Amino acid sequence: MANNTPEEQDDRFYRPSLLWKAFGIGSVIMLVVTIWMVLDDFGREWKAYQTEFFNLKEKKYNEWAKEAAGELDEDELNSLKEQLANATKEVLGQEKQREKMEGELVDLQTKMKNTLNDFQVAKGEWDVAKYRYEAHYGHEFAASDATALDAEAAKALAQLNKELAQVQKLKDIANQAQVNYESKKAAIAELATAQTEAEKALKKYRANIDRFETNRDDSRFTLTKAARSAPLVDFANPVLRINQIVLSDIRDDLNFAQVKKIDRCTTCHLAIDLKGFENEKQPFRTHPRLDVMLGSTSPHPINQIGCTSCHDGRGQSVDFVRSAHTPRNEEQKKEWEKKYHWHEMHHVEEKMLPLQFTEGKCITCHKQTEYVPRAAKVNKSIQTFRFAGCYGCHRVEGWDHLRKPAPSLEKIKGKVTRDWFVKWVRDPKAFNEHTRMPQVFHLSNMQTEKFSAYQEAEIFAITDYVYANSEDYNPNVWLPLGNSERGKEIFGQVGCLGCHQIDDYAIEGQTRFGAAPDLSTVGSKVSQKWLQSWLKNPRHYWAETTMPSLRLSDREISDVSAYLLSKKNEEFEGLETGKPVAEVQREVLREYLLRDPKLAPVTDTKVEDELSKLSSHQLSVELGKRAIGRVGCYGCHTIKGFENVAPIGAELSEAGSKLVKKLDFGLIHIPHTRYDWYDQKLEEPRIFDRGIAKEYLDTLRMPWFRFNEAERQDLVRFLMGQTNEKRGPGAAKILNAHEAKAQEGMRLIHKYNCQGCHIAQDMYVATPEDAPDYDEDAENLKKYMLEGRILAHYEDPTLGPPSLWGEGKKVISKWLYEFLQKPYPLRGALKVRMPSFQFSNDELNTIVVGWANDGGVEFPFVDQPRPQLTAYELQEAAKLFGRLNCTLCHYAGPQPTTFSDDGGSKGLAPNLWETHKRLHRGWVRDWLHDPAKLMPGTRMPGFWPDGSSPAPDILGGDSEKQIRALTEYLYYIGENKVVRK
Amino acid sequence: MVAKPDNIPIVAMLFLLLFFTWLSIHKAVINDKLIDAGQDVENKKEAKELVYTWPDLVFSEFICTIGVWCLLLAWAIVLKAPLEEPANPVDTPNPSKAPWYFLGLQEMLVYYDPWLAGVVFPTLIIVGLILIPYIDTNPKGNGYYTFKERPFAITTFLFGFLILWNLLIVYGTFLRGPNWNFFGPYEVWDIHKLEVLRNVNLSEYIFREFGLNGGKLPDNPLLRESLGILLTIAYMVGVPILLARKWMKKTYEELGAARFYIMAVLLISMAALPLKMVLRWTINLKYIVAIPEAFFNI
Repeated sequence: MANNTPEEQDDRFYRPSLLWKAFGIGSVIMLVVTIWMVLDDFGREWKAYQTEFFNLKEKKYNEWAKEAAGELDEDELNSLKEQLANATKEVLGQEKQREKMEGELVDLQTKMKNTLNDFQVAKGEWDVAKYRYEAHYGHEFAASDATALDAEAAKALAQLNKELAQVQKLKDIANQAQVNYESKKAAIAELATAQTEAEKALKKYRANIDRFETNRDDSRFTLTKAARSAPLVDFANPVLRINQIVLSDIRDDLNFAQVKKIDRCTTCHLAIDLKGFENEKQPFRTHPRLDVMLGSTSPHPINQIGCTSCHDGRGQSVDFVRSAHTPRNEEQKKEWEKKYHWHEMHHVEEKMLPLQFTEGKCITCHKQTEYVPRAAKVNKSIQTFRFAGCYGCHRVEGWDHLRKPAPSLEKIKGKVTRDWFVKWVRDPKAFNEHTRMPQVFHLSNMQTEKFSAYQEAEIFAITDYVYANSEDYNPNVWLPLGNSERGKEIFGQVGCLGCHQIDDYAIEGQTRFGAAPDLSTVGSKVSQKWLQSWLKNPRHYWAETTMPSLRLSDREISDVSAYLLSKKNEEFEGLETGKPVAEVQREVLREYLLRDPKLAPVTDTKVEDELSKLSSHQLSVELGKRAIGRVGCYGCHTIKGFENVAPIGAELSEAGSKLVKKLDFGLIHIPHTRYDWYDQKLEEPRIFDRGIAKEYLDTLRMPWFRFNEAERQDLVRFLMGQTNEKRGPGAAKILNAHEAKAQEGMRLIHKYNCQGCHIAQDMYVATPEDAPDYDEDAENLKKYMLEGRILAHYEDPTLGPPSLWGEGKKVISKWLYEFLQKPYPLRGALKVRMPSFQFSNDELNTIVVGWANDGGVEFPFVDQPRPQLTAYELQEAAKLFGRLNCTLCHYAGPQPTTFSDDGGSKGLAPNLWETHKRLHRGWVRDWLHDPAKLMPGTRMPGFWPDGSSPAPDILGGDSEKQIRALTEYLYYIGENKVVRK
Repeated sequence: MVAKPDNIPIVAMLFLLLFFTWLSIHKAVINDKLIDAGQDVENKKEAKELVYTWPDLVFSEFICTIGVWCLLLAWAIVLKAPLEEPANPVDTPNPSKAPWYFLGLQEMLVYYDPWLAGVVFPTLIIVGLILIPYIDTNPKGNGYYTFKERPFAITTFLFGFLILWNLLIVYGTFLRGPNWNFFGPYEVWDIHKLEVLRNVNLSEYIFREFGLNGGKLPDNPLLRESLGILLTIAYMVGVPILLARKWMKKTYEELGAARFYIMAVLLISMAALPLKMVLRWTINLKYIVAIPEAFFNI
């Protein structure tokens, strides 16, 4: 095309050689860039992981195959092999005969095929003839209602029948040929029966190895597999491919549309639901809790829950950085930056939650229950949120039914002195470092001289308001002080420690956020009269209290009150109360009035008028009212005049989805994430005021709870679960009618803190010892943190309050109702007492119905047949009763009221006379079968381990019969008041 | 920020624009010298009328295609698309910016009412561009660069294109931060930055600042805004007439009345933007005519 004659070249605008050169170079560059594009597009991170996983799987299956081989018995294997060899030899000996038979078999097969073919052709022809006959004559018959065939038709029919006979004959021949063939084949197989059997036996014995070896071979990344995944070919059926889980019940909110959640995490996390990869490096590690999560038999199978439902992040991305992985700490962040070039995804709102907070997401689906079964971490979070009283100021959906978390101040006049109140409000931790009451005043944003003076003014004003609005209270008990030492002992024994903490019985590492106040310094707080009245009947002072009566005798009350009043805080008592400064109080109230909407538009004169109307006490009370309204004391305490005021805290129902942009980080440099903000807020609530020029009334108001790191983490985890993600019936835990009733009961059990003493729910599940974050000490502490807190004080937990596991299945509702109404010592020798809670009838019913529904037992009336024993069985059962030495621990007869402390076990178990009115028969039988299964750690021995009987001579040694007879016997002695010693 | 994938085109544009402007002026200066020396620029190679479709046009286009292909591929591989999260009505970006090539238009919104900045001016720009060949029938400069032969046309174009269009794009991209506040080149885009907004209408100046009518704004909007209306009419009608009669007499004669007045109206419309900007910066002028009762503001 290029024409190089000089004349024509002159006409050209560009020199052709230049164009050709440009074209040549351009083409080469284009080729390079195109190849680059293909490589860049093809070489994905996840493909490398998948290839690596093929190798890992091959290695693993090989190991397991070897392991399985190692487990086999060498001798047995050899003998099986030998058998096979012998059988094979035998078969070989009959080689000639077999060859001949096989020759015949081939002939038979040919014949069979041929005859079958003939038959099918004949049948085809007959079918056609039949159709023609019907089409030709059939209509005529149908139309004319003729009863006889005419001659032509009869002939045709005769022909047809003849053909049919032929077809049937051929069919017969074909079938016969097949029979011959099969029998010959069987005869040949018979020759090799022994060999086949031996082969089968060997294969069965080696089944495990073979399975692993097959898997191993399948896992080999062969050339074919590589070829299938090559560029351009990989559209068909590649081996390296993106795995995805599509969840129809869980939806992602894209603001304008709800779309099915799609998780592709398993593209790289290839072993997440496979057992056996627990110790591999990521991304090939098995999920640490397959029993609860992802496992096919777990409550959350992987194809129903996916990954990002709990972990958050961008499930559709298959790139480490872009799927918004979040490091759990600085160290991991550094590691990732180096290894994966990790950086934060700035525009992604739903980044993955750091692992320490993931469990909080349980709450997103488990909204209908107060706690989540078997999720220790999130339960701890919920409990901390509850005991720290966060819900007092912050509304959270599902927490509206709870009473205010702190004591009522309606009768405070009768409980503590004004001086104590002022000092306490000023700095609660000065009184008791373990108190739950947060510090409200003199915090970091109040350090200027002016604000400090304002705070003092408000403290006195609040005191004035609260005392001016307090009713009088007259304690109604007046006992002498008893023996403090004895009081201390009683305090430790009767059950106070289920709810309260005290320094004499401190447990290291236990959180200070419990169900009831720490009493280490209570002697500097309340008067003798008040304390004794309170111990006698807590509801006399405060009708809404959940503190029960422990039925202390007057003498016990004297002793305990002597002990508690000796617990003083001298330092606190020595603190100056100080005096309010009237001018400052006036100044602060002025600030409030300047913003009072009732005075708007406000002028100086109006405010001065208002102020001059008030005496100095009135002014203080008025200021107190406004200060309480500002700092929000009424969120936790009932205060007269604040009955219908909304609490000051922001609602936290969607705290886990709050846009980071909407959080005010002020001038504080922390990472801009929700959890970092919440953590910082909890650590120092006023910090975001730092460096900000604010007026007094605009300052941040959240008080300082002195949360430690673990507690903060717990609370942040809780908040991370409070999301705006909507989970419908397919995804959320929706309680059925029984569960809902059980939950109602459970709420009361939580309300009265029954779990301070009893283990009642499976709130805690041990972390597996091989889990990466397993810590034995923490585990022991955690064990009794959620439930049975008092049990941490017992070396032998069986001497503490009994577990309520399966209580619903166990006890008869009527008995439970009466017991809760009027508790009595069931295990007389236990020092700890079941308190009298003064439940209302409604509450009693709710608890009893709740347990019944939890246990799935009949309610309200239970059929209790008379004990069914023949005279012979009765005699044998009595013998068995004696043999098993039941009365070593149980009473079976009237029980003494006091027990010697001789270390014997008599009275540590319930009186057997109770059995017939207390327990379900079915439960008793199950209990006798295997006590440890129903109540792990019980003192009750199992007498029939694995169904074998301890007394072969009784009832023929039949354990079933023995258990039945013994059960009936227990009901018999209770009903008939038979005394056994 | 300059290196963000979103901003690559605009940064490239900055340099290309400067280069090509320089190149054209450079060539124009050389040509102008030739013209001054009485030589014939119109016979230069570039200006000749006959060029072969093959290979001069098609082949060179094909080579350019290859070049662009390579460039786009490499660009797509090296720089990731700056995708963000799905739009969220409760989480809108701040600042909310138009595509970079419209940022000049968006900048106009600061100074003019939306109906002017968003409707009238863009329409005028398009209409004006369409009208150029009908207004400007001067054949000089076809096929070669020159400045001296048509200084007015080139100056007007460069002012409109470089200053009013491109400079405002750069301004809108790099110097407008959260809440559409102005941020210096190295200033951190602090979302909390506050600026005093104290813009005053012309009528408020007259009645409030100068105390006319006892400081009270007349109730009748026409009366209230009468000065502004007069000024606007004077600007839109008076200036073109003055241009025709006095300052641009020669051009008027060349173009004829119809062409000249259309040109003049377009010209002063263009000049209205910098004028208003200066008024805003110097005396905080909000609107010259402000009749919110009729949604009419200038």
